Amino acid sequence: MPLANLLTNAFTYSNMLVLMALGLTFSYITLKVPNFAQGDFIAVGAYVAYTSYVLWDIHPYLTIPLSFLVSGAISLLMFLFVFSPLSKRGFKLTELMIAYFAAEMIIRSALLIYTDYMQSSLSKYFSNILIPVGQVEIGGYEISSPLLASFILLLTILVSFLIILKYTKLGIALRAVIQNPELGRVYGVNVEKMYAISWFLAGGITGMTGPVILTFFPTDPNIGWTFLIRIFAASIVGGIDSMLGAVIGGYFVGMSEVLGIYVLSQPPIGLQPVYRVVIPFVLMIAALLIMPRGIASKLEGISFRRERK
Amino acid sequence: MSILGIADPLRFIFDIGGFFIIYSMLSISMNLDYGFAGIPNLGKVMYFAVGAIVTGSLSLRIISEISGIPLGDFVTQNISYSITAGNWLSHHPIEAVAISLSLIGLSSLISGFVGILSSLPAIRLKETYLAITLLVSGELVRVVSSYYAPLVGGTVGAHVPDFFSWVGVGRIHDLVILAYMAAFMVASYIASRLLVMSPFGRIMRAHRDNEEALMSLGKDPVYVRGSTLFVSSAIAGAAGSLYAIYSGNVNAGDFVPDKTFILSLIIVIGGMANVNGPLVGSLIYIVIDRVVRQAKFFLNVPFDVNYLSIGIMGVILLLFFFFRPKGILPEKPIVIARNKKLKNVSE
Repeated sequence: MPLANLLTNAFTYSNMLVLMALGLTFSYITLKVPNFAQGDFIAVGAYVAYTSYVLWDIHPYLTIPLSFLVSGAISLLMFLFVFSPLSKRGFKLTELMIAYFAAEMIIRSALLIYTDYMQSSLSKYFSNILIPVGQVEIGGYEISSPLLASFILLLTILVSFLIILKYTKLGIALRAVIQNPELGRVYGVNVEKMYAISWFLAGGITGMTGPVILTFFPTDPNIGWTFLIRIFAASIVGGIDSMLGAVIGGYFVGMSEVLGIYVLSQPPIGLQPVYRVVIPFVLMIAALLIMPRGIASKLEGISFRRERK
Repeated sequence: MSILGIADPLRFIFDIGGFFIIYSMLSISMNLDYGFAGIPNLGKVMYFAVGAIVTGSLSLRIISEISGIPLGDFVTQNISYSITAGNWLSHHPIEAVAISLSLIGLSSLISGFVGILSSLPAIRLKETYLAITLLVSGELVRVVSSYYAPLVGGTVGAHVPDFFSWVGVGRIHDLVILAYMAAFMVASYIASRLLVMSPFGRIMRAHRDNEEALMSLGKDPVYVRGSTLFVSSAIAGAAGSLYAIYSGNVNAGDFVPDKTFILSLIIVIGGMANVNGPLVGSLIYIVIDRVVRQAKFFLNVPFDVNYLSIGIMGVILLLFFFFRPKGILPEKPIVIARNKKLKNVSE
């Protein structure tokens, strides 16, 4: 069943991209600078899962909450001790981007050292790893576990976010800060605290995808850069400052990449599948030139009018 | 004879010299873009890669055309052919110099045009988006060229012949290469100095400080970005070409975004928008990097010390940002008129 396989791939991949793009959105809303370390949280999450799998034989999907906490904590530390002080000192956008780059290198260096150390002390592979998890049978259909896991993960996150953002005080404060930090401050919202929360969520949500990626895609400490182009593409195509945009962009980019390279690698064109990374890049450039604020910015107008009625 | 685990100290110093020359040319280029004109060029490695790829892909093909010795299949034959070409070059010094000069010129020209091309998105994009676009373009060049084997041998890389085999072997040979490269570095340093002191240098700094003010004075920011990127990318392309000639091997997969980061680290350490900053910064970076790499002979650690080097560079940059954000040589107002002229004016 090549078509079923293709769709499984496309959906698993897109679900993951949506979560990663959501993470990027959450860190973008604070200092309005895209975080280059976002991709590394995937690797952090994946290695949390892999370490517990190797040492205690725990199923990777059971460590998803732990991956969330660990990568969220790293992200929070980065914000509290690096970016918050730097932005208070009046560092400009480009300088902050270079600082993000520095933080990314520190995380990656730590991961590389960790994997190298574990590999030599446990004599087990810690690079280019993939844990096969097989399939689950539901109602007579064989469904691949990563697909099911990614769907459950995505739905859980989206539903809990909708509830939190819509009905809790924290959610309302977060939305206020995203839309207008100055007005939020006027209304007594602790903007600094909201920013810290959103960095924690940013790291956590992206880190959560690590265990699923581990069962679906060969993982190594440099996987952050493999995904970073796609995360940027998904966020920018959808609209980098909007959560709806992350969902739209993740699906749009993920689907176009997997289905697009399938079509392009067929006989009439016969492109090699390794060039698939070109697709998100082209989509991103097109989005930047046609609508730099993303698809979601076009939809905002519609919902705004509906609210006024 | 060995000092601090270094088998051949003179060779070690030559190696530091070679990399110092390449990195200082690249950081001169980064300083023009980012330090003086305020363009967030996070894709700097792309121009370096373009220069190296042009040289790596054309050197053997051009030699084959001129010498008449057939090359065969580039991807599989380039290693053995680079030795054949080296032998041929050892008997033809004039051709060797002419070919290497034209390769460097061509690489820097193509890289310069890539620079102009990449200033086009800057017409519409602001800081953040422009930086992302350039960064991602650099990654794209790396990924596509490391998969497309006919360009520079794919993931295996392509060899570049020794253009100085006619000098002989040993120290003299290394010294001649180093002097040849140093000539290009001095030329780019003087070019950057003259550019910064010229009226166009003032326009570049105005572009960085206040684009609206620049436009109100009738200057076109798009033109400023295009010409700055042309000059800086041409310097970076020449550095790429020199790197290919110096190391004798081009692997497109090597041009990772980390290199761009290292260049921003160098100009932050040296001092942004100071013409001497890149030289000081490059020297400090190269020395730290080589010392860390050398440390693996003393430290008995269960991991690759090169990984530690990446992290140390990140920490150094953050420390500079926190404690000395202007770098070792801070930006100084540039005095253009000579004292004599000033006297004339006051009289």
